[in-house]
Amino acid sequence: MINGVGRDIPDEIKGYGKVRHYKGAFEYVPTGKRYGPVKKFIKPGEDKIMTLRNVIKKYVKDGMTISFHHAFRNGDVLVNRVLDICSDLGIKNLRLFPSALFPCHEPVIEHIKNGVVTRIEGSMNGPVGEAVSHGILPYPAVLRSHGNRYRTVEAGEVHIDVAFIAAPTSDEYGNANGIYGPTPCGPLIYSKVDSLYADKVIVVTNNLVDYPAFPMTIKQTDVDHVVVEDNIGDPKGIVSGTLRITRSPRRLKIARTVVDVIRASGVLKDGFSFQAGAGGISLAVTKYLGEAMEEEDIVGSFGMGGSTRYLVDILKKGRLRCILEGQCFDEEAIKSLRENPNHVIVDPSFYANYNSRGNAVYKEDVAFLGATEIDTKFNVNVNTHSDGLLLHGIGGHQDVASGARICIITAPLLRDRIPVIVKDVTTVTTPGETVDVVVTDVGVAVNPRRKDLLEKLKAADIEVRDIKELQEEAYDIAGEPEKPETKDRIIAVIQYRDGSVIDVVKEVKE
Amino acid sequence: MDRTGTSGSEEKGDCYVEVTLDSENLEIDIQSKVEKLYGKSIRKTMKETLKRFGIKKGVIRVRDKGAYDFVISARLEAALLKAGVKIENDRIEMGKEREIKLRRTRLYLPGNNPKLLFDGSIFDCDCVILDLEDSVKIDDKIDARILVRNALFEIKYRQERMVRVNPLPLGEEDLKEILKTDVDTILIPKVETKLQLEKFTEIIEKYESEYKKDKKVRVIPIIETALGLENAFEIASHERVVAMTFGAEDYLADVGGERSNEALFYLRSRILNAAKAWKKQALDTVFPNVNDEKGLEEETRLIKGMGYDGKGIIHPRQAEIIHRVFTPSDEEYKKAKRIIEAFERSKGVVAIDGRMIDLPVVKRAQKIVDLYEGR
Repeated sequence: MINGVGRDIPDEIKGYGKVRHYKGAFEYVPTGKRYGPVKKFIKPGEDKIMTLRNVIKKYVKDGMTISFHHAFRNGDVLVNRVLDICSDLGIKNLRLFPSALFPCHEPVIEHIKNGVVTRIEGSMNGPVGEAVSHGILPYPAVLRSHGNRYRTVEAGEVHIDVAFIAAPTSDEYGNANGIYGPTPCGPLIYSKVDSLYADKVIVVTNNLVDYPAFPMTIKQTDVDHVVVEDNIGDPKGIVSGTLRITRSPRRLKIARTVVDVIRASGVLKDGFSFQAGAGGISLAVTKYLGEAMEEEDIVGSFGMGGSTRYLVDILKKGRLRCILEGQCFDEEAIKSLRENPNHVIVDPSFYANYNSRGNAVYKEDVAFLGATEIDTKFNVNVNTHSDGLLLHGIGGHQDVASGARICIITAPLLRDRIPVIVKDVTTVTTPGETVDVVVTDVGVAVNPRRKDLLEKLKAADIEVRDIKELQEEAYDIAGEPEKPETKDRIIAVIQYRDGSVIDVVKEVKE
Repeated sequence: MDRTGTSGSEEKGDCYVEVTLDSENLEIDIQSKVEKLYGKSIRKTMKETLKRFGIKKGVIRVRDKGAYDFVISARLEAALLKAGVKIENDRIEMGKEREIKLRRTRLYLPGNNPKLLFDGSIFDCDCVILDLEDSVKIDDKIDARILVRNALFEIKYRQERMVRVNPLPLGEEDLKEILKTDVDTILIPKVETKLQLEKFTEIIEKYESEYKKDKKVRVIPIIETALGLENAFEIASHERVVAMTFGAEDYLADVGGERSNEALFYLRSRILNAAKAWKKQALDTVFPNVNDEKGLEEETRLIKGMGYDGKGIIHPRQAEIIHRVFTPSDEEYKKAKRIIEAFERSKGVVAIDGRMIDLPVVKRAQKIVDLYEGR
């Protein structure tokens, strides 16, 4: 069936099941009840401490679903460690349900080849995604946004058998947080839903403290066992990749233009709120935005994390009433969580759960997000490269785009010859109906749905160009790219934030 | 006879081409970072370029790092030239005259760097200088010449298109290729006498008529020696000259000085006066320390106060600072407007806020209005 973004998706996908087709950003109306987790029980004086090997031996069986959080990002060690033990114990056919995988999880590929892991539902950044693109996984992978991961578990669409939670600080009863201890990783809040709904909840810590540990991000009432390990992850891995302000004059120009667009749109006044993020351009925008708030002498209501020191700087200068935090991208942000009472941890449901009575993203004035590709219908791809390889997760992209009053996508017109503004994106991650403005290094395009913005930008002397003109300019200099050839087999399903299928990714040809 | 030529590099946005002509048949070996998306297109570009130059035999190796077609064909052409093949690219762009008022900033782009040549097109500076002289190593002169020519064919520069050529005799080869494009202005380095300048303009005229171009390129001489400075007034008188500029480092080396605003004061004053005597623009040299924003701002205030019309830049970030200094404030603009209007109404001497408004004041006001509206 042709879905709401013009993609031809089968009604049933082998290894995934029946497809609920994407119709529109807010077309789906959820019905029925949330999933009910198992009842739990413990007697006074009972001990929760176990070794990792014994926990796995006791609870993890063939075909089960095991889950992890990604707060350590590229510094995580728990996923590999658990899978090594599973492999050792001869466990097969596991479904891996992490919030995200990173290049450090390359060993997962071996476990797929050996049949330990046969399904992955979660973001895949780097080598695992590449291997999956070549078809090594027997079942299609499923990609979800941060808000959708929470929604899926809460709705009972994915049942977690055993949740492993790497916790930088915990007591022996399982009260855990991510902001204290020798290796803090941030809010730890992605695991919240796992702890509420999994049959077995295992906290793994390298910093066992006296009862009670606080703050209690993960609570004793949900935790079955506590494991003590020497190493649960390296916080240095959090700051990997994209977390430096760009030095490229091209990208800095984009960042400045974004701030011009925000000023022109008239939202930069007291009570202003925005979504921050990582990525070279976003960091630069955050910094410039802080300067603009200073200049205009305004106090914003909230900045939504993933936060960095640039966002924390704005808070410290008193230019924001608070930061709402989902994940930290550097040590400064983690430090701020310890020190600033107005730096508040919120879970992914509060942030962006479609099946709920309110999202923080719906309260954002502005968001500025990156993209791998943007097409002339304003659809955005953040998952696959133009050659068809699946190399990135969704993050909060769909959530933020659908919620923020003004969603700005930032991207250079071309990256190493490859056009970013294209006729049709390789994969639709975020539907064009939720995207308002595209800012490139050669001009700004406004979604025709937003006539109000178009007028405001024109009034402020910002040159607005037709997005087709931008695409033509890109093809003009680089040439029209060939379509990458794919096989028929679907290797990944891209869900929209409401759980419908917005697109699929097919196996690449060698 | 070993007829081999190479061109380019394996840097991002570039490609490396190696040509060996001692072969019985044609062999093309291409490895590209963008093979899946542009493999066919790269092969097509190679074949077309070879056909254009009538090459039927040879071994050609290409290592591509995401270079645009105009870069790939430039690298191939340069490699063939370096292998000793006599070829001539017959594409000629007639070009169009552009009205140019402001030359507040002119950004230097190294001529053998495809990525920077391309990036240069988007920045908010008034002019770009595609440089064939000091930023290009002696072994890369052919490569840069062909690359800059192709860049001018394909990149839509929004700024005034300037090329700094090499001194003669290399400069003649440069002009032969560059004048095939829609170039606006030629910068000529190390000009010491009017006669020397005329040698250049004769070459320019020769190729302009050979290529049947109506467009007349403008010329900016760069004064870089004591002798050049002594002759600046004469040099500035040439009809093709639209502005005068200078190279501080070369001049100081020539006279044995060290860089300071004091050491450059005479040079700056004399260049300025020579230019203005002929109603031409005077353009200041570059400020070499990209990180010293305060120093740049101070130097820009100094030269603007002297009467200079602009400054060279080596990083796009510098443009913003210079434009800020050169752009009059809203108040200055309003006041200038009032002066001009009052003067036009009265057709003679008039007073505003108790101050005499005569012709020089009106002229200054007009310059403020031009700068403000031209930004």
